[in-house]
Amino acid sequence: MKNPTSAASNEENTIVRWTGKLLKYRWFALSATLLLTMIVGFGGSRIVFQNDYRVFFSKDNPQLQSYEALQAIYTKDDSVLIVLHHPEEEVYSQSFIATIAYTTDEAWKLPFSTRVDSLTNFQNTEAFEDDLIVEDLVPNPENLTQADLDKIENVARNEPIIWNRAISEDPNTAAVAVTLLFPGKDMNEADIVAAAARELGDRIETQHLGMQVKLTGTAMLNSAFSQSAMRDMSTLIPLMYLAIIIMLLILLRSMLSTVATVIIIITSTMIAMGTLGWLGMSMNGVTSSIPIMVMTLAVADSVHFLITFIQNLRTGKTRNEAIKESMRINFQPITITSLTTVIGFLSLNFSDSPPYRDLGNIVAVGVTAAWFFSIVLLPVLLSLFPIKARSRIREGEVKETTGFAEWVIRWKTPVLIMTTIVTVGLALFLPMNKLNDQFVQYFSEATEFRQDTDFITEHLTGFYNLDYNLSSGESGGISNPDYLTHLENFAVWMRGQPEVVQVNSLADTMKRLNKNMHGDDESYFRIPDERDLAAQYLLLFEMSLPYGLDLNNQINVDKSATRMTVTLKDQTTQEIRSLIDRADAWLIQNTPETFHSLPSSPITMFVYISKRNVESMVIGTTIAIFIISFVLALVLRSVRMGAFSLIPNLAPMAIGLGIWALFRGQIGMSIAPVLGMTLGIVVDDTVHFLSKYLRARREKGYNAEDAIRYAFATVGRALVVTTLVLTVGFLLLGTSTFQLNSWMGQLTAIIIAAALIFDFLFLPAFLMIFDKKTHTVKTLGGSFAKPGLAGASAIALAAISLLAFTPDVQAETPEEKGLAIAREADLRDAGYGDWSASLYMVLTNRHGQSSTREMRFMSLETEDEGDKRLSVFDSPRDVEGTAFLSYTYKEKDDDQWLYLPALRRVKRIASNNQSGPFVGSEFAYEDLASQEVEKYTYIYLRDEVVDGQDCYLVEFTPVDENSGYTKQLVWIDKEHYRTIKTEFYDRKNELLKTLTMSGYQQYKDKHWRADKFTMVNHQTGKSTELQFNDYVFSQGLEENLFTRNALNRIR
Amino acid sequence: MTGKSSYKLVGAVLALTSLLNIHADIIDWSGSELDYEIGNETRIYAESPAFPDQLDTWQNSFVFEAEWFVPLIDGNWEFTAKPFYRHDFTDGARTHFDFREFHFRTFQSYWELTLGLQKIFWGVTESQHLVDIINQTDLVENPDGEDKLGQPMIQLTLLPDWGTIDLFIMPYFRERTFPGAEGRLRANLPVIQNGQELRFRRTEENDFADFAVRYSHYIGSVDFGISYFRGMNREAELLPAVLDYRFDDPWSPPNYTLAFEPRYRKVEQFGLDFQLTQGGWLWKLEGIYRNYLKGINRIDPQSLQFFGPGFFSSEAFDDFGAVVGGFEYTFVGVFGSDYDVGVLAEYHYESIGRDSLRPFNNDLFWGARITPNDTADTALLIGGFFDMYNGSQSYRVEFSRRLGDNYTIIVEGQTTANEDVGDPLFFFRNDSFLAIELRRFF
Repeated sequence: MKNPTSAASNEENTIVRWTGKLLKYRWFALSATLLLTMIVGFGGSRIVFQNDYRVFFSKDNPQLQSYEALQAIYTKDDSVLIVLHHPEEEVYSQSFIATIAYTTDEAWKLPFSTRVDSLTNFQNTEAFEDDLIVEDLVPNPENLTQADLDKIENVARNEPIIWNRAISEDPNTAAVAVTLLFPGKDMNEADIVAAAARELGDRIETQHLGMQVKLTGTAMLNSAFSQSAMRDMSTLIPLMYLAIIIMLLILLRSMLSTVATVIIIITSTMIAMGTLGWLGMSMNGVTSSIPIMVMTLAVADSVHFLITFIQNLRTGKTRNEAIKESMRINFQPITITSLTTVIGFLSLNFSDSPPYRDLGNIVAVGVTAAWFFSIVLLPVLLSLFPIKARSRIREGEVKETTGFAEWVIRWKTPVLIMTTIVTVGLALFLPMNKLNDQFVQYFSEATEFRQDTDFITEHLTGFYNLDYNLSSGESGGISNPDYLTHLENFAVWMRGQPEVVQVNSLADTMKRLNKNMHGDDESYFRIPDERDLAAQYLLLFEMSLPYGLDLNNQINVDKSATRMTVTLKDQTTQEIRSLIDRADAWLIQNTPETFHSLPSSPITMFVYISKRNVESMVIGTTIAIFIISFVLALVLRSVRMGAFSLIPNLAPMAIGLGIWALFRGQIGMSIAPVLGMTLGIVVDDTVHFLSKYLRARREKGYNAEDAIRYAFATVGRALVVTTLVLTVGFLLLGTSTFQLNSWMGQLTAIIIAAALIFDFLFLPAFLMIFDKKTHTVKTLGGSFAKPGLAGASAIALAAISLLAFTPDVQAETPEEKGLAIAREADLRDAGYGDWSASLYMVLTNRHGQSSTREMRFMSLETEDEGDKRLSVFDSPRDVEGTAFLSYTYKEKDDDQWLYLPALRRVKRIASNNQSGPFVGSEFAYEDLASQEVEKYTYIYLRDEVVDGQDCYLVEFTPVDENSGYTKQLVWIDKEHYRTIKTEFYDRKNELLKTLTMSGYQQYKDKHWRADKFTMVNHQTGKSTELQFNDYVFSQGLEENLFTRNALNRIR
Repeated sequence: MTGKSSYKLVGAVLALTSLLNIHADIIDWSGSELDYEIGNETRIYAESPAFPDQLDTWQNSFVFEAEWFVPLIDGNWEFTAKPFYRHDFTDGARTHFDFREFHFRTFQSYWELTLGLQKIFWGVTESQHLVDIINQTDLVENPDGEDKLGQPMIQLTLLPDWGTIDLFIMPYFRERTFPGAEGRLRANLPVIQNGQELRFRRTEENDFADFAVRYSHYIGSVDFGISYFRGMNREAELLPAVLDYRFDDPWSPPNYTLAFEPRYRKVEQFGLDFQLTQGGWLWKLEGIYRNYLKGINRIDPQSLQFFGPGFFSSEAFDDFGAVVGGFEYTFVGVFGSDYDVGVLAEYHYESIGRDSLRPFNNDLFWGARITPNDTADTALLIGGFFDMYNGSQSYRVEFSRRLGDNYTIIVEGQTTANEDVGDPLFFFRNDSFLAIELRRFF
């Protein structure tokens, strides 16, 4: 039956013709595409690198807005933290202090530096008689006595503002904090500072032997972002090219084909990067993975094309023929897989983070370009290159995947069970994945930034902090003792939290000032009792502070609010979120409303982004899943297959995330987009496999197992190759030092590999076990009633197949003609939906004695298989209510159930009884079953006239070995294709019975039904007559009437 | 024999029917159907009885069964009643009336609802119906246990694409019927039946209703069902009881009669049934796990005194699991004839093992079903059980055939051999019989 696909073959003809034209004008096509690539690719020169961590947040991200608001109130603080560490020297030593002082002075000279805080320039306050002395803690670093050093240590230990910040319990480590104000004129400001800081570090290390300098802070973070991106671009991309070239050479064994592929890759990448440039998007850590992704995906398109091309060359075709054939076979799959991949990547637009949106859109552009070049440029290149097939195809060479296919076919049930168990088992680990976005961990431990930051977190202080903008609600209100008490209580509470390393609060300064103003009396180390006093102390203190060390970073202009900075230990973002929630609850419970505030800082943005990202990506991925399933249903022309394809599309993700949970257990910003992205890619495997499988089932009429063999033989190799390429590509991305990219690459690689394994194991096993129905024209007839697109296309296809049938009847060989007649008869009766009739049966023995039975007969046409039939007995009385339900299948035994009313029992009965007599009549079960084309083979014998009607005489040979007949001679009238007479030959090939059918009437202008069936048994002399009455067609009998359950209530 | 409470239910339903009758258009009398049948059964026993009071030689009875069907409310609902009456001329306990069915039912596309009495069958195997627990067995009707009493229930059936879900709420527990003192095929003492006086009857454990749920489906060649039941066990545990104990005259021994008191306990039962159909092969499996929710009931203190406490604490009624599994293979058209011959074998196992008081603890069943596929629907079934612990055996033959259009003859025979004293079959050692039933259908 080639009819359902005749539309497809029309389409294929168009493609072949189109390819012909393309090859004819190949020079034009070549220069046009290359020109286009040049123009678009030129945009690549406009690409700028952006290295601010803020790019991960959209402008309307609430945490970003809040943080920017905070920075507007106080000072904007990007920072560099210079940490000095000497393994042998203590901080409280002459030389170490001298180095700190030196660093402090030098740090002032860093570009954009606005403030430097260190141990040596800490503004210590002391009482001197009635005066307040404010001066550097270490005014003279050159000449320090042991008493000075002891005093420094004493102050440092008791001063919460510097303890755990500039200095800590670790006696070998101290820090100098540099605050920067970036003018924001140049993208590279952070890099400039970072370079200067590194240079300063080198200087210190050479001057002070053994001193180690570690650098961190947001400026270093930003610089690390751009460094990682650069590194990815400069090392991974060449590596990727190398890997692709090696793999292609091995797999294709053709130098020129490899060159052609590389050209496709280059042009596709150029289009993608050019578009990025023209659209004014910037490069950053995330978007730097675009070239690798586009390259990888472009290879996949080309490989399918090339493999078919080379296979055809090796069968002896010319290059142009091979190109045409490859286009014919691959155009549709390549288009579809590109389409699904584009849909998958476009789903990244649901991400909350702009770089991922850019990534999705640009890769989608790149994939589209790769598709375009694969169908335009690649054929042209192949026709220009003098590619020769190395050798003709050898026997047994393509056996690798077929051997595997046989293995799966043989062990389908265990394979299905095992893959299901493994998948479900791994999916159970899914919830073990925890959301975490500690952005320091975005950088691999191989990077300097990560090493330094980890060192600092371990030895000195935390990298993450929370900034609270705590307001008193009145101008000058920060001097209010109530406010200061709240501030102090909050700081105390915060210090009591296990996550907190250090709290910087104005209350500490106030306490110290109060003490100083009372002659350093320790009992006054508390919040001043009166507002006026507090205000005066603060004023006095501020007046004494030198340039650059004012309190503007801590107090707002009208002195109504202060900033409290809480430094955190190394926490997961989930733990940080929990701290924020607890602090919020504490504030609401213990402080006035004006005081309430949520913290803002870089980490708070990251704390919320992964959650927001995951939530929005769930929506995006779900939509992508639906669109892709819809596309698949359309392409495979089967809603069932579209829905079913969800399993092989989703299971690899469950497997991937399950494995991920076992080995990493953390998901963050980078993992959320992976799902939508990989969905589009893993679908490709399913599309290729299912489309080949269905082609075999529909066009070639194969059963499930043969169709599996066919699918493995045709696409098995190509799928392995593309999966290999994709896995290697994404694994390479997985080696990126930028963890957002490396995790994305690793997880994608896992999922893609899992998809292939799943599609090679589960999918075929599942199809063999559950897809027993055959896929033929009748499908279309059955779905007439169903509205919508599927119905419409089914009608269109049915119309085409009707047209296509007419010449088939003139087919040549007797077998073909016999089959054509049977099909025509089948087709002419298709589409009744359902019919029912009452039946009066007269059984006569050879002595002429007769008995009767009455029953009702209902039949329901199904989409893919034989009819479902139900017969209910009305007489004789003792069997009244007995019902018989059968599901007819084209290629396997029927399912049959019997309902025994006395026991109210439904019994599934043996399905080998086709040859047995039906209720003691001369009709066997098989005579009354719905007649499916597939149940017989046919030979047209000759034309004969029966009862004045011109008939075809066709010999039917049952396929089923359980049939009671060796053959049937069937007379079918030429005009309406109705069966007029049938002779049944028994297993000894002797004439057993003759059936004559008479009293034909047409129903619904289509369906012919005989009123009377007369069966005469020549060997026993018995006969049975069936009289059908009250035929009703298409009355809308419901499917659930034909179920096991319905037998219980049938009357 | 129907419990008083179910009479009440039937009464209520009748009242409802008469209410509906006021609106004559609700009932479609023209669509109603009434069929009935009458029959006579004669059982002939080969041996003299084993226990006193039991009837000798033969037993004759008469049966009436009818089915009345009325469509209601434009065919959206239907009413079915199936009264059944057997009159036994020898064993009074076998004379009984029952509504096998008496229900209102509606069926929609994806659900069905049934209110009233009906019979539900669960399971796949032939020689024992382990999973089948909804209906009480009408044991007095036939010792094979295939006959069931109508069970009052609300049944909701849901029909999603992926199977059938049945939910049952069953108010009113029905007790099992047993042959009377005169009857054959009983234990060594008669069982106290409904209505007979006993001071300490069953117990406080009656809940509002029994519940059950079942999911069944078929996938390709496999039919399966899983079920859960919670409520009164249908199986009776027979405990000896002392009746009419009198000790008036100190100079003579006390007067009393002994009988079995049926005990029913609340259980939950998990069931599984499974059938694989492959060509002529049917592979069948049923399994249950039964969990007794409450301990042994209160026992008549006189009985306790009389028999001693040890008699009642048998482990035989502990929680247990049981399976029955086997196959049936059908030869179609043997030797070129129209005859179908099916051979079947099933194995029974129960976790309690040798001490079990239930009959099938480690038994093998074999059988053959012969159907000539003639116009009279003749069928012959022969089968036998073999107890693999003690070697007790029982055999059974069933033959049925239509005579003309309206008569059916059913012949049943049963015999036992090598009955072990410890086997329940021992009670039936003298009860081999042949029963001939003729039915006329109207």
